[in-house]
Amino acid sequence: MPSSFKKSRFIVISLVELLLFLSLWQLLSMTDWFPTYVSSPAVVLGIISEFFMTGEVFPHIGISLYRSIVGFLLVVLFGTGLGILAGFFQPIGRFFDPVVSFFNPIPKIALLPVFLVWFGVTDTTRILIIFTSAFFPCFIATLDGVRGINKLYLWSAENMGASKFKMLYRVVLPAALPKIFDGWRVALALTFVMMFSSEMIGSSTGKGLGFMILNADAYGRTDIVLAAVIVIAALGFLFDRLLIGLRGRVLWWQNR
Amino acid sequence: MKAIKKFIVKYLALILIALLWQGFVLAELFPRQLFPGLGEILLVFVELLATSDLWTNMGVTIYRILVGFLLAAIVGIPIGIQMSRSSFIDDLMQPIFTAGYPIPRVALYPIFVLLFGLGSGSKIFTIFLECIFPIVVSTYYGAKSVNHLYVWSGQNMGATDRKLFWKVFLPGTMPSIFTGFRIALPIGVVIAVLTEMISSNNGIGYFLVYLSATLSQSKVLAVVIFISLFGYGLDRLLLYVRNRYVYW
Repeated sequence: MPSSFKKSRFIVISLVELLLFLSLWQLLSMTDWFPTYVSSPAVVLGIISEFFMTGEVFPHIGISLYRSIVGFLLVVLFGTGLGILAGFFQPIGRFFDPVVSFFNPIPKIALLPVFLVWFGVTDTTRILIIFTSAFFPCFIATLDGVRGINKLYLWSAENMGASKFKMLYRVVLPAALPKIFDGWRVALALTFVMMFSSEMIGSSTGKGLGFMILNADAYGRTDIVLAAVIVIAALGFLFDRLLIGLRGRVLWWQNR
Repeated sequence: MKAIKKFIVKYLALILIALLWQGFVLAELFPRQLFPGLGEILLVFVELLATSDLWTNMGVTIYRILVGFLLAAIVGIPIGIQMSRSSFIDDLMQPIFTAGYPIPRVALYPIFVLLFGLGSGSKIFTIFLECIFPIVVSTYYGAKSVNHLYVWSGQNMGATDRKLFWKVFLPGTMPSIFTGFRIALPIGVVIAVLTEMISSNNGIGYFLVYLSATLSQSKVLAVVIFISLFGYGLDRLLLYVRNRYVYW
């Protein structure tokens, strides 16, 4: 199978590059050229393994994931749901159009101070920021997907006497699913960015990976900062892969 | 009369939101201080436009966004095009840009602060890093779909690699490059505001945090309106440039 060969080659090249990068970094930090406050990968890896041995990182990961996953699920629920309705029913679409063009260009992170005043330093504030940031990419992608459906499908379904609900469920949803998945992927990445930033800015409740970075940074512990960054990066990568895996399962007919 | 009706139907959702907001204010469910009326926000917005605080901070932010974004374009577009042309470069770069895409690169910001200091350098670098990914990816897919006939005829007529880049690949890829720009530019704005909110002593993000610390919610909301108008204007500008110069 050529595609699986290509896949394994991709993995091998990625691993080689990662190893090269790490050894270069290690070499640089052993020479005096590199600022001493940037820890070597060996030290950072040591910190990461220590994180997991002592288990002190798990509550932080747990609370960070809780925030981003709840935010993401809300986006999936509302963004995709409203997107499908707005794409399928013209009046609803027209109703939402000005909302999108008005609220989409707002950098939602600017709303964080506003939410902080309204809801305090709580998970509600953070989840709301995550939700508002990731909602529009998901909504717009879904809307695009639904509006781009081949009209022939809809007509034939209508001709065969499908009800509106059945058309939504049987025709519109599967046909728009590739686009919807693209929207989810963008939304998921945004979720992680916003999780990290809302934890770093809104003086934290003392839990979460973003808070961990902020705290370690304040004490000048670059090694812990880097270790936490690597944990966030690994989580972001992992969840992206999970989503792609899910996509492969659900969209098996789309050989992508 | 018809025009008014058309306007109301078109902007129904926004009008409803505004009415709802104003209704909350009039019902005094929340303290005025925390939930100012729309009229007050608008008034503060106009006042704010006359202050130099807003404009100097905004100037710094715009400078950071533009430098980071332009750097990402200058570096990203050649990378994307070369990736589509040579399988060696493709293999080399693909892991970085495919596997690196879902990683929140902005989390590295504290490290960049250590490396480049608290000033513009660390922010520009973070903006650059976030903007280059969408630009490379959309350039790559755009250049992949450049018609091979054009490339072959260019090669047949003896065009050098350099000439091929400027005369065939770049124009052919321009539409998708602009798609990448449209994704990257708002990200640049967000990252600029975000990094300034985390640690800075100037820029619009800093201004926002500063105003919020003085507990003037109406000013904060006015700045939010200002930033969103800016983001909207930037997007319009990009569309205008595209329609003007990428007319094919």
